[in-house]
Amino acid sequence: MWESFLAGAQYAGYAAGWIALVLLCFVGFFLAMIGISGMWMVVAAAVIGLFLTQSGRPTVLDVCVCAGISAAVDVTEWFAGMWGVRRRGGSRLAALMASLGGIGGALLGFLIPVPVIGNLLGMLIGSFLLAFLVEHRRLQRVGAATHIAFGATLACIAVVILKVCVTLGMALWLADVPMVRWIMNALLKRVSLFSIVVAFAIGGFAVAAQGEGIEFSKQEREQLDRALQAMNATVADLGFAKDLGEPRSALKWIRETLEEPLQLNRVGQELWDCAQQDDASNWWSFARRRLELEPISELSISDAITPSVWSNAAPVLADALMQFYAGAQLANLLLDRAFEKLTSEQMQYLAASAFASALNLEDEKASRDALRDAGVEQALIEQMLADSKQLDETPSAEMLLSASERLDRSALLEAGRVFQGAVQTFAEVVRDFTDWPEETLRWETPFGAIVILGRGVNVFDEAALLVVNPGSDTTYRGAAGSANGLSRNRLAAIVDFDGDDLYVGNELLGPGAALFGAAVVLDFNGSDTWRCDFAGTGAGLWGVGWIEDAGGNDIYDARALSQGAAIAGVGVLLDRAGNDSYRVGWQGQGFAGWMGFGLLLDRAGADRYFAGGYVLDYERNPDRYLSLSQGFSIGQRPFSGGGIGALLDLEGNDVYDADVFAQGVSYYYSAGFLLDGSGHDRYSVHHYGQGCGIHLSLGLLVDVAGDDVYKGSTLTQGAAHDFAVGGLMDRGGDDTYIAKQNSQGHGMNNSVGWLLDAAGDDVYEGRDSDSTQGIGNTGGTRESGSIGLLLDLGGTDRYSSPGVNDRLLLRPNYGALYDVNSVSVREGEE
Amino acid sequence: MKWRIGIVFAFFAAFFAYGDEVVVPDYDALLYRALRYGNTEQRRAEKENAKKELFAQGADALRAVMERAHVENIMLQVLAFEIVVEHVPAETGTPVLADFLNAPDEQTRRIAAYLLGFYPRDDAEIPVLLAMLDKERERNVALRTLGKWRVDEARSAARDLLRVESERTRITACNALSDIGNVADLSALIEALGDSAFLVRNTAARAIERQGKSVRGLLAKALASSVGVQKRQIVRLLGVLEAAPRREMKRLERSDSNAGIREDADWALHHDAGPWIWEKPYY
Repeated sequence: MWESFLAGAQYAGYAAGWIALVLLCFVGFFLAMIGISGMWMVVAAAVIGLFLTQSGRPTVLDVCVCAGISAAVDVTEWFAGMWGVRRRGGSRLAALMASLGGIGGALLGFLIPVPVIGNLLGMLIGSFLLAFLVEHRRLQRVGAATHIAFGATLACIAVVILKVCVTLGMALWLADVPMVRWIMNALLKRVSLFSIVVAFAIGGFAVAAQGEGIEFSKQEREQLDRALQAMNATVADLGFAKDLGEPRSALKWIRETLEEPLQLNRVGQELWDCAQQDDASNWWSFARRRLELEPISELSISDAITPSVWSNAAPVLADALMQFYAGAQLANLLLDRAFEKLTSEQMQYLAASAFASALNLEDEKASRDALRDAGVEQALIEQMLADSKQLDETPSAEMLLSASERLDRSALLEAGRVFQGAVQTFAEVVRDFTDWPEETLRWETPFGAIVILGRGVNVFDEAALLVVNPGSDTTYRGAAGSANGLSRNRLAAIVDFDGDDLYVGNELLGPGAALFGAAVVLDFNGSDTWRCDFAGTGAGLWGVGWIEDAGGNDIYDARALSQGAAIAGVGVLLDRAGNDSYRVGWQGQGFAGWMGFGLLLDRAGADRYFAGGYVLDYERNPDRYLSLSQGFSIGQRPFSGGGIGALLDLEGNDVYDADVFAQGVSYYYSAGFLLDGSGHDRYSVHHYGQGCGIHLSLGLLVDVAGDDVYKGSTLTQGAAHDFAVGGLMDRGGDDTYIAKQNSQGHGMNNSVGWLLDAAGDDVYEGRDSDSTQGIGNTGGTRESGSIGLLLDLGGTDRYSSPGVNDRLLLRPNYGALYDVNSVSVREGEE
Repeated sequence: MKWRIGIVFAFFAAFFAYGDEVVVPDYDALLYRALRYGNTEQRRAEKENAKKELFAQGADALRAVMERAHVENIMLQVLAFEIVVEHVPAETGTPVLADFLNAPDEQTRRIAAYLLGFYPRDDAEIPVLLAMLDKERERNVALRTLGKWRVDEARSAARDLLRVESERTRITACNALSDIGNVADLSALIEALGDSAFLVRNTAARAIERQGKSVRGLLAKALASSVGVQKRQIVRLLGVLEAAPRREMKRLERSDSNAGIREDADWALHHDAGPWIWEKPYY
């Protein structure tokens, strides 16, 4: 009897426990829907489950994992509201109040007689209202306050979505739904739990960030229109005649954008979107579109290598190698097509011309030797140098362009895309492979050797089609990882899964550089050092160079044409994480010459970029160095335009340091972009920098968030000279701008230069107030002005020019300094 | 003995005189040294010396540069400008440039016509420059120089060129009429205040402003029949000249349907107390 009672009680207890567990999960889910941390209910349910289950699930580890996720979400929530407000330029107080308002509103939402929805509405309204009130009191403007408060609201929505997803996911996991468990296990196997939470957070934040980016927002456009209206102008008037050169070749969109300047931000947005999406195919699409290349017809591979060739390789590895090799074969066919109209002499001449100034061939014997070793005959080097010494530059320019135009750029890009895809697919397939051989495996192919390094191998210095390193600290040098269509393998790849590696470019081309070929290096882990004595590290010269470094605090150091540099091709350096250091002499860090796309993308970390110290700017600033880097592109004036140079850094407190021509700058029918996401950044340049177009060209610098400091001297910070367009946009934070002359929203010699600061309390210091801060110029002997605009759309600001806070100032030769807070932005007009 | 000394003296005199004649610089080499990038100490020294040597040659150096003006080298054009503006006076420079106004190469003709504008008027060259106005690729430089020389015969062509498609030509025409400064052209410039291109209408405004307050009557008259950007430009010009008719401005400020014109009138009346503040000179 007693035993029956005990058994009954036990069953009742079990039943009550299970009911409580299920109820807790449901309650948690509903709480999450109103923005309250219902995940903890699921954690409580998991604790109960510990005592109920006999199947071993949930385990103590499961409970800990759930608790960890819940804590992470709560931390994320605390920062989300603040983040939403701060990234739109709101004050810290508004950020705090947004968070408190959300909590208070959710509780008061019980007064609204609609369950759940009422609390949700209360939370959104509370968050919006408190942020709005604080900002309205500070800014005295409805529009700006609304904009900032809306940021808080969007952040709240993002957090709710995050909480609901996490709560639901944990509940289903506890319920041991097979599919959920499978997904979670798969995810856990591949990435850490922390990454999942971060991914959720990023997804949520992306919602809050919607509409924030590189393009002008609606509100910014309205304010721009307002400033222009005061000048008796419209946006269309920014398009006065600038495409007045007669280059033999130039990108059409660049020519159009000279006369439709806001288009530049649209292209910047495309770059930004590609970076956000983190999918290589987007970059290839962008390159194809903006380098104005035609799609090419399908090619087929006739002589695929048979699986039996991959002797000694495990089946998984053999399959992956076969797939990779098929890609390499196709890429090779495409390279055939790309170069079929070029003679060997022409290719050598082009190579010599690319390095002539970059490595100072005339004066540096070591450079000439390196070029000769790379396959360029001495006679051709001498001929090229002799041609470059003529007073009349036309014959040598014509020769270069004639040869360059024989390149099938579409086929080259496609070759790069196919080869990069093949290497990436191979890496993904074998990444979880564990049965790596102890000894080095090697297969010879018509395109070079495929080598899988055995344990203990720590130096590799050969030319090879593919080198795979399962994981050890390795030094790559010599021909490893570089492609050279002049003298050896024109396809080269390294896949390195782990270890702190050293990539040394002691020959003309360093790892990840391609000359008339394609090179790809994927490094998945470790803090690596990339050093080039000459050129390399993501450089494509009549070729495609692609590097991805997925982790670690890396050091990049090179002399020229490196770290995302391209001439007539694509050069990409993607660094995914870590606090990295980039140093280049010149022509790097997002550099492009003729029809090139040079990209340096750093996704996270506090990074340092330095460009200079190699070639002095003898004729303008003899005590300063030429940089030609950090989002810079250059054409050959007056013969041909350049390409697209872009440096993108998504997160972290970064330091950009350069001297002359750097940081979102271009020269002659080219486009340069420097786009920086969050973080408090420091920019320093001397001449021609920080969003500057020079001679019929386009330059843009956009900083999305953070308290930033911009230092420059001449033609910097949203400036343009000679039928050009230059812009600097800072979307948030308390910023400081310091310049000497011709800067800070300055158009010079029939150009458009603009600086837009969307929010924050800013300081503008210009030593020469007659040429800084929203001012044009007379045009010199051309006797017609330019347009210079400085728009500050929020905060309390200080100017060294006659501009004052809260007013619109019309400045000489078609300039406007527009401080929105003060201009009669009458409430009725909003 | 004396005659022997005389022969020796004459010989040396003839030798040195001959020596003077044969020292003709190798201009190609000299120009290359003067223009090449000075990325070493030696090249910078060579460059400085070459430039000194060129400048010392005066008009001959200008001729040498002009003989090579067809060459695509931006620095060569910069050097030509430097020689004309800083080193060769009009007396010797003008004849050199005039010789190239009929050069077979279009770019050479353009450069010669442009550089002549930095020298005082030379009536002998006016017919050639006027003829260049008929050639689309040469007329901008010719018109600029004719304006600088205040050639009355160019006025008619300049007024016509205010209506051509090329924005740069319309700007040049405004400047030429401004330089010539004939009040009879004011109405054409006032019409250009309504040009579709921002820089054209503002260059026209600058040209009108140079005439001073005397244009007030013409502007006030044009105000009545103008609309849109032209009307705004006139109101602003009157404001800049501090010659805005008070009653009309008040009427516009109060009741014009165009918000921009209302603001312009407000500013023209009140300046720093208006909708925006401004900094002189506006144009």
